[in-house]
Amino acid sequence: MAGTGKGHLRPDEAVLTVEDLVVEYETAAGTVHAVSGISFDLRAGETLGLVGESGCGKSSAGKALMQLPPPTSGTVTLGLVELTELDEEKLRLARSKMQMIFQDPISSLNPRRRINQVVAEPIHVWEGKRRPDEAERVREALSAVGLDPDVVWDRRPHELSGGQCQRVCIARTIVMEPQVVICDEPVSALDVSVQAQILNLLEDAKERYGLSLVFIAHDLAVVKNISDRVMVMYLGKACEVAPSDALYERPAHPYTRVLLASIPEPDPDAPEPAVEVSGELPSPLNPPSGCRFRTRCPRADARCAAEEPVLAEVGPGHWVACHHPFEEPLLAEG
Amino acid sequence: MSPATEGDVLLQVDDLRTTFHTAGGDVAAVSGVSLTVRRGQTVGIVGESGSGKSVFVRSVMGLTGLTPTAEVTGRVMFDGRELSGLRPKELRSVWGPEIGMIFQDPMTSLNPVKKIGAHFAQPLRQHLGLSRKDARTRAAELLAEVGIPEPVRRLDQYPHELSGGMRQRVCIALALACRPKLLIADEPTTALDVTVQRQILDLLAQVTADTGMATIIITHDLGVVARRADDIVVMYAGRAVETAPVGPVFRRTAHRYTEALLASVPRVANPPHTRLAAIPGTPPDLRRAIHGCAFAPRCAHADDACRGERPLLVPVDGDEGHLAACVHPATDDVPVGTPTGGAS
Repeated sequence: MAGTGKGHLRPDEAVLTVEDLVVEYETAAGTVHAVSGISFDLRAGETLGLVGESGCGKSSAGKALMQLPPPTSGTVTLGLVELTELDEEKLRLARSKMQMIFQDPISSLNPRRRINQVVAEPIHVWEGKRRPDEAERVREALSAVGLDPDVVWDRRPHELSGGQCQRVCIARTIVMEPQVVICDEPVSALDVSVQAQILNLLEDAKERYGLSLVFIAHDLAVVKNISDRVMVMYLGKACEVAPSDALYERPAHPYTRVLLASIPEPDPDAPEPAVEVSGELPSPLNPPSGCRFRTRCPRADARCAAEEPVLAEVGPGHWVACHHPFEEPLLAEG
Repeated sequence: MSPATEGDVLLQVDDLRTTFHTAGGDVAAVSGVSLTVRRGQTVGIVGESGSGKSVFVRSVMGLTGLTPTAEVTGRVMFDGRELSGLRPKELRSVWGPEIGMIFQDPMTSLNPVKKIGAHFAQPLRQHLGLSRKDARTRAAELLAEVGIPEPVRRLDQYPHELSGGMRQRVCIALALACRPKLLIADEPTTALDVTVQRQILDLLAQVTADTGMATIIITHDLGVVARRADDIVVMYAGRAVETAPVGPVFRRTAHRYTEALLASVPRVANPPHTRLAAIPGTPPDLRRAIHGCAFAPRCAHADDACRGERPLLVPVDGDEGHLAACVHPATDDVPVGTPTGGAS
């Protein structure tokens, strides 16, 4: 199989390990290769950013971790449990330790339920409806996300703003005290000022509940601010994995550099790096041979079409899958 | 910045107010916003959801005339003509030939059952009077102008056959078809990926430079206009709170809302786990009357003076080009560190 390498995995310390994850969808037009063999892991208390543009497979990967639906192939190990091998009931129990937050906070809440019912739902699902401490736990979770339980208790989702709904989604997540939370574009539907509130809240919740986060987003500035490590994806493949500082200072993969150079910085004096890419994403129905970025890459040559690059270490914890990686920093000093 | 000469005003809007009469009460979506756009100039209107930025430009164009519940007052002068008060029927000769518009979602702005070429028929044949054959040739030229490969083949494709970025290029080509004097781009890149956003913004900058068209870019993202606009208007709760050339807005930010908005943006230069300066609370409910400064309930610097009368746009440090409606502007802060003067 055309794997992109697993040298970057740290087998002894991970709470979550994903190996050779493949997600394919059958459609009338053919097989969509959404994720084609990515591997990553997550340490306790760590935040891993999965970043890329639409169609890179980051959301498909996030859903496959939750087994929603299970991946086409590959393994997802949470703690010591291999999720892809579990039967339905065992998976249901194991999943209480891994929760998910979605992009649109309003549509991810049942409009007919009251907020206290929404947050109590996971307790009902996993522990039954007669827990004596239910109300107390719901109150605590709501307070932890900065909502006043007395005010929102009997409200319904439509009475709250988008930011408040996202707080409810986070409360619903942490009420089970999970190990891992998968956040799929949790702030992209929110205004900048509210986005900052939610990002701060995620950092607080992570600290307080000892969470490990997989943070999926298209916005590189947001990802840089919240992640310890970042994995850049393109058309179902991993391009580069690195500690966030290193990735942003010395992006080695041409695609990472393009992404970073494209960020519109809210500063008229900031240097604007040239973007050396044209064209658009090829179809995931029929991805290019070799390196999938070669059709848009300014450095591509015959080798890139013939041979798929494998993740190789270029710095401490910094891995890149490219035949012609960059060595110099993105912006020259001074 | 390239301030065009005085008197070269293309669009002048005075004290525009738009109210929607809804079942839940009157919503004051825009409450008294003025704007000047000179020929060839690019103006960025920046604000969050509900700030009234989109309703404002729609009211300027007269598109709100299509909404029976909308009431618009104020004066709109465009290229020597008064647009305010005209009915949608009378404005048809303005929409397209005089003012072009592109929207956020390029999928819904194109008709899904019409081929790309058919979209060009109306502007080119009706407004410019071209023959069917000439219109087709011209449409292909326009598509080529906005960087669409194989333009002739595209004419016979449907919108769903193109990617999001290509569809937005088609929308830009359509807006440019009659060579309007003003292009209004409402969140033109919000639905697009960053690399495509960069391409579309570069394209907009290039066509405005080539054609000498004036542009209004509406965005929630200060980064989109930081390098591309001449002037910036920051809106909050239906009001313009700060307006200035782009440099002063970023370098000598006056209004506390602008300051807070800039501070809340996550920067790439931040080290991981930087605590962001979030703005507490949410924007006000526009169905209720707002007393004083609309931002006061969320502002760290607000006092009783802010909650009294609505602050007016006044020059910052005597600079007539830089206006802010703030009782305690950031420019009054005593500069910390560098005692190099300048700010009084």
